[in-house]
Amino acid sequence: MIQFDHITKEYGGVPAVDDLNAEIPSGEIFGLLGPNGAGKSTTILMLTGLIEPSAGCCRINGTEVATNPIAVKRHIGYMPEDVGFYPLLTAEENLDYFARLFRMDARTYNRRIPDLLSLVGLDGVTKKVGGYSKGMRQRLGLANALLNDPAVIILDEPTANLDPQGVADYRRIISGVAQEGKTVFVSSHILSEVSRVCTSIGLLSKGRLIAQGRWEDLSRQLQAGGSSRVTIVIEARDPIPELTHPDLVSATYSDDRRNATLLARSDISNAVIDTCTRVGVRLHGIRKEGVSLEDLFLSYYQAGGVPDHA
Amino acid sequence: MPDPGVVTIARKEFFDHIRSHRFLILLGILLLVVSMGVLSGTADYHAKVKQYDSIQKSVSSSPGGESSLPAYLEYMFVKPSVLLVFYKMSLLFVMIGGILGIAMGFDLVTREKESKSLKILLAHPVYRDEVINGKALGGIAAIALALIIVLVLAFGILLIAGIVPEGSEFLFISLFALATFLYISTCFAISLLMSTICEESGKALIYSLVLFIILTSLVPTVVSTPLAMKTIIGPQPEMPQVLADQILASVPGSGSDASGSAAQADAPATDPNQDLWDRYNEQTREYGDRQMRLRDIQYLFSPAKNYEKITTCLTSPDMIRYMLYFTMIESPLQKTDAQGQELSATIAYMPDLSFDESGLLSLIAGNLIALLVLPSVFFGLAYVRFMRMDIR
Repeated sequence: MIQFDHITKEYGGVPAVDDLNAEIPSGEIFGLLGPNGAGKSTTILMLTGLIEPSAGCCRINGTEVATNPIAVKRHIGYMPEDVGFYPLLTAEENLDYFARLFRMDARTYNRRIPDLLSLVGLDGVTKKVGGYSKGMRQRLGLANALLNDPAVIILDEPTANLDPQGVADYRRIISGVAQEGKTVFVSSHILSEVSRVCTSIGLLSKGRLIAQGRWEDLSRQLQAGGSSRVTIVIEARDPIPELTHPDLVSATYSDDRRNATLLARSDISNAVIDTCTRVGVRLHGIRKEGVSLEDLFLSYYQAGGVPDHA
Repeated sequence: MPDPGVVTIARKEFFDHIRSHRFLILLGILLLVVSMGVLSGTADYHAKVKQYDSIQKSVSSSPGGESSLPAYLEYMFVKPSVLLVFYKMSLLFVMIGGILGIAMGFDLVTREKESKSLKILLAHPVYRDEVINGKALGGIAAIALALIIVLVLAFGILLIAGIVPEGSEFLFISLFALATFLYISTCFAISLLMSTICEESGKALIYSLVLFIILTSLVPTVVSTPLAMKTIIGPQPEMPQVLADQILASVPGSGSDASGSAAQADAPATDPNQDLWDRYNEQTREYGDRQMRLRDIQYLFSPAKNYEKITTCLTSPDMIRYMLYFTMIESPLQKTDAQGQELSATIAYMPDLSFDESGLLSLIAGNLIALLVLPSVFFGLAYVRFMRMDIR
């Protein structure tokens, strides 16, 4: 079980994580979803005892991380984003080294390391890690996170560098360990990835947890809130000015500002055409589109919360 | 008993070092230059033994024996030691040993940051101090191994050349090895500190070299400037005019520098200025002593100077007073020659030092302590810096 108890981390007075409060029961695959800079990695660093929180605390299986980091580290497996290993050692030598740091007995890790390498598809690879692709390092990172047979597995952007086969393998492995009763904490900014593997999610925006719950519940809330939304795609010959409207939720412009995608609470096409005509912008076309779940998440990140329709 | 985490990390670091191309190349260079140094030192040793034998023969056959020669030639009557061979080695170690130490430490932490392995390492159940201590111990063990290999090679060459060290020479060779180990460890500690401070290995290497050069060259030079000398130890004693006149009168034509000590030595026993000479010589000697003490103190801050002094004392004690302490103290005579050049009297200063075993050991004790303190300070700073490092 993972518990965040009003945890805050500030850098130079600016909160990277702000009063995060959550509880993740054992056997859960929890996805922490948020855009880059939302505070996901900072949350994970506090959870793994690599940095100390400015306020609050987090606990793993009842043990406070900041005050007992070594005890906690014995029972967690961690794969950081952009994972790195010792380039002059082979995968087996790297895992052998880390197994010794876990103070595992030689017989256990001599049996476990080949099994794990086989599990992540690196069995038979004898070259040194310096010659690995990013995807291979990520696979090795996953093997390392499982090395001590941890009760809690913490993965930061685990599929960032994986190929489709690697992603499929990762999903299979994660589902397998969750079935064994282990808790998996996954951080990602890829909604589709989180939605495929996680049983519950938390939405992190600007360091604050703006929503948390079962994936099905949250997506239902979003769909319900999003049924009244509309996406408007504009193509123009001239640069489009900054558009404003009371029903406009978010607007994304291309670099040359000749294309824009608007998310609005109602069809504001006529208002957009009026504004563009008034300032002399010649339009190529304007069309309405359905709203994707990704767009809905984006709009709620920007708005700072999920509508309570459930 | 050391913590298993430290042992695991130290063992990995040790094997990383001894398997790295960098270490093997530097060790190869070290073995090559040490072989050359020992071979050249062996030739010098044989030549000195031959010279010593011939001096012994000629002096013993001359009337008055050893006492008939001036005191400053007394070193010629000391039987050459095997340690002379190690003197050449020490000269090579100052540069190559320093490079070896720096090369082994400058990227120990930055490499982990660059390969992103530091975060994953610290996510394992190890304390940060185990990591930095393990890295330091692994590096020190690799340095010790390199030194053992070098010394075994040197001994091998000596034995092949038919030179076998005796009794106290073994003690001095052990101290020589200890000083070399501490010196290289100091350079290693400097680069380890820089590795914890810098984000990139390139910068860590440059800063390590800069700090090494500052400590080796700049610190001793700054304190040796005339202004610093004058500020710290006071002004040089002025020669009384009457003595200056006496020197000028004794030098025909007064066209070149006059030697005060020679003038004094030539002065008749009934010299009316004898008291003045005695007082002036005493003041000059005290000034020379102050200079020597200041030089000794400033050397304590420089790893290379400490090492040079220790190894020179151990391996070639007859050189130490000339290399480190022999000073020419120049006094202006307030008169110019025909070309308008200021005339001056120069007094040679030589400290009254004992060069027997205990005298030599007391002479280098401070430097040995400094070579223990310097790496401890740099390791301490590296430790503190690593413990406070932001891992993001």
